[in-house]
This record gives sequence, structure tokens and C-alpha cells, in this order.
Amino acid sequence: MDKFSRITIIFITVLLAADMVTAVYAIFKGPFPVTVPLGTPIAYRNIYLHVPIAVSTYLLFAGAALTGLLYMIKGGSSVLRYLDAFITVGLFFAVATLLSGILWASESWGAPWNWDPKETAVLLLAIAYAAYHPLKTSIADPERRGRIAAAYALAAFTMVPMSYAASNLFQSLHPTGEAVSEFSAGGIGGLLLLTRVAIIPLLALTLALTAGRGESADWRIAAIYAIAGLAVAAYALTLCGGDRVLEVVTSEDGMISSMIVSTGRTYTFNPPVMNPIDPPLTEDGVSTLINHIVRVDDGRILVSLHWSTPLNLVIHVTAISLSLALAWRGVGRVED
Amino acid sequence: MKIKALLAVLVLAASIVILGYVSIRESSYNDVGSLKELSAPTRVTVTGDLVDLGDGILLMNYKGGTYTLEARGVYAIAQGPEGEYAVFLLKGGNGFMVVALYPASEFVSKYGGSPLFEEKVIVQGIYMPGETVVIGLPSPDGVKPLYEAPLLKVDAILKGCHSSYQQRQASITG
Repeated sequence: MDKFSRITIIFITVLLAADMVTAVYAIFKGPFPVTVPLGTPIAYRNIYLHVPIAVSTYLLFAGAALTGLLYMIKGGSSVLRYLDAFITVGLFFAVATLLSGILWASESWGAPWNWDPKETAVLLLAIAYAAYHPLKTSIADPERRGRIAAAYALAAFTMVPMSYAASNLFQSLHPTGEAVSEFSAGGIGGLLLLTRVAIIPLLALTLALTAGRGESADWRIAAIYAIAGLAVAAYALTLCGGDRVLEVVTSEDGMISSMIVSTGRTYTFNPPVMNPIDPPLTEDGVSTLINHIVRVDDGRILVSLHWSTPLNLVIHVTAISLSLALAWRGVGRVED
Repeated sequence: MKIKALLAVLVLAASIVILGYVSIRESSYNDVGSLKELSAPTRVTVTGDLVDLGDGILLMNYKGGTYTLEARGVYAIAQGPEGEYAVFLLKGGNGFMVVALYPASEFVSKYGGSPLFEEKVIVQGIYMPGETVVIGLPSPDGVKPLYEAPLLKVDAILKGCHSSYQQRQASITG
């Protein structure tokens, strides 16, 4: 193993550790909007998983388009290997974007799939790039195969701006990029989101480049990362479940004396208990606990995680583990 | 890069753009007014303006039964022979209206006790053009109609999350 490969492995390991640490913080401690139009506000912790994966997808396909352009100008089988790597890793991330959006939408939009323009656009994006490998392998002549693959990668990139702009161009339940920027502009939540939007795309691009270079990453890193991610997700799933809060009787300082949950059950707290959400009240003086899913244990209100977040972590870890496996195996060595 | 290859890329890119644009546009939400053209029960996802039902007690005739409606602005809760429903009156751009019925238990468990709605909503469900629902005021003869419109059996009210990102951030303490 040369020096460059060793440095690459160290760099990937650092990024994976940073991903895992920030993901754990996001899932268990990440801030969320104080009130939301539908569902439990805590489901918005999915933003820390969904957005970085989506940004990575766009950047990986941009990398594919640039590599395709480079191949059309200069040619070379090594360029083609990078093209394959960008598209394969991009495809893992595109499918992860789609699935993570579906899980989140089931809670925060009211239905997992409703042919929203954004959902349709991301589905078309994934389909466009999923056609790349079958198209490429169907061409026998290597030179022609390379040219057509590169041309297709360039042309398919047109779906990226269209997918990004779908929620600007058409009525959509999905927020625009500008709306998400507002969230990232302030507080710990904004800092956390920006940090993850820096780490995950950098990791994704590094994995694609490593796979394209045909060098060997360390499979043990992939195994440790995947096991750690799945263990965190499994633990997080045990913190899900409970009843949705419909009504709360609260004092001016946010103390809760009773609440009604979706099963119709009324919980009375005497003496009143503190709202576990900070801030406890909205600007209109309404309890911020409303619509959260909670459990009551030993007279304490425990706010549950939403199941979509741990499952989104599984999707996230799967996309990165598959990319790690590809980097470990090396696209180039597979082809050669 | 050869001109021929560049042309091939441009043609392929244009094809993907056109195909993608048309598909995304077609998947955009139809206005409630478009239901006017339908004559058979159809699964739909439509957007429409919410009509203010006011506050107070109204009556609703649905499937031969009379329901009591507790109007709460843009929605009402109906109680009657076949259970409880959340009731919305949705109006399209061409003035065409439908009465949207959503099982009250699901409505309450998803949207809470006193949900806030924007002027426009997107609903998913089955449009039943052959079934007419009458909403009106109580009268000695039964119901004095205010609105008479076909039925949309709703199974999901979809909400965008745009406004969430302007909210303050909250966290769990302890």
C-alpha cells in the first residue's frame, strides 16, 4: 500500500467517525422546529440525515458529468473508471435520498408517497442514472461504449437542476432550498446541519474517487462503521413509540398539570411537571408538547423519537457502507 | 470533442429535459375544479381553497342520514348515524366544490384537537361523483341547503413543511 492510499484510509476513517458522532448527536439531541404543520416536530431531526445525503447525490452526479466531459475531450480508461464510480456511488445516495424522504414524508406530509413534484423528480433522477450501467454493458465495442457512457452521463445531469428546482417550479409540499437555508442560518441546529452538509458530501466524493482510483480501502473500517450505525439505530428504535399529545393544560411558566393523548387517555400531574421541551411554550402561549409522541414513566413525561429517524440512519449507513465496499473492492480492479 | 458527439449529448439532454419536465409537471397537484370532468369514482390527489363554514351548528345530509355539524371555521366535526367525520368544503379555481369527509378519529390523532389550516390544502382520497352531500342550516323541514356538492372520501390531508423552517428551534431537556 502506498503513502497516498494510507492517507486516504486515514481521511476516510476520520470522516466516518465525524459522520457517526454528528449523526448520534442529531438523532438524540438535535434541535427541531418548535411547532410544525403536521406530525411530531421531533421527526424534523431527519433533516440532519436527509439533506446531507441529497446534497451528496447532486455533487456526485456533478462529478460524473465533469468526468464524462473529460472523457469526451481526452478519453482514457482510467477516466471511465472514475465515471463509473461517481455514478454508482451517486446511485446509492440517490436511492437513499428517495427512501429517506419517503419515511420522513409519512409523518410530516401526511402520506409517504403522493407523486409530489419533488418526489417524482428525485425518482426520475434515480431512474435516469440507474439506466447508465445496463446501457453501458449492452455495448460490446469498448471505444463506442466509453463514448456513449460519457455522453449519457453528461445528458443525465440535466435531471439534477430539474430535481433541485422542482419545488420552486411547481406547487410542492417539499420546501425550497432557500427555506432550508433559513433553518441552517441559526442556532445549534443550523451549525449541526451545516457541519453534516460539509462532512457527508466530502465523504461521498472521497469514496467515489477512491473507488475510481481502484485502490483498496480497509474493509474493517466499513464493518465497524456499519455495525456501529446499525447498533445506534437499533437503540434509537427502542426509544420510539407512545401516544400523541392532543391537548395540554399548562401554566404560564410551562408547567403541565394534565394532558390528553391520542388514545383518549388523560394524564393528570399533581404537582405539575415541567414540559421536557425547551422552550415550553410557543409565542402564543401554547404548550410545545402538543403533537409530540410521549410516554409517561414514573410521573415523568418522556418525549419519544419518531421511528423514521432511526430507519433513516439505517438507510444512511447502508448507502455509505455500500460505497465503502465499492471503494474497498475498487471499480477499476473489478473491470480489469 | 467531435461536433457529432456534442450534438448527440445535446439531443439526449434535450430529450431527458423534456421527458422529465413533462413528467414532473403532470405529477403536480390538480385543482379541485378538475374533478368536474370525472363521472366515475376515481382516486385523486387535489388541491383546493378551504371554504369558511363559520362557527356554530349546521346539519349535513349524507347517505340518507342526517349529521350534526359543529363548524369550527374552515372545518367541521360531523356526528351522525355512521360515525364521526371531519368535514371540509373545498373550492376549485372554477368555483366547483366538493365536500371532503375524513374519519374524525384519524383526523384527531394526526392533526390534534384544534389544528390550524392554511387557506389551501392538498387532499388524497376517492372522488365519488355520484354521491351528493348537502350542508345547511337546521330548518323545520330538515336541512335548508347552503352547499350541495359531490363527495370526496379523504384518506390523507397533506401538508407542506415550508413554514417549519422559519420557526424557533426547540430541544429536549433532561
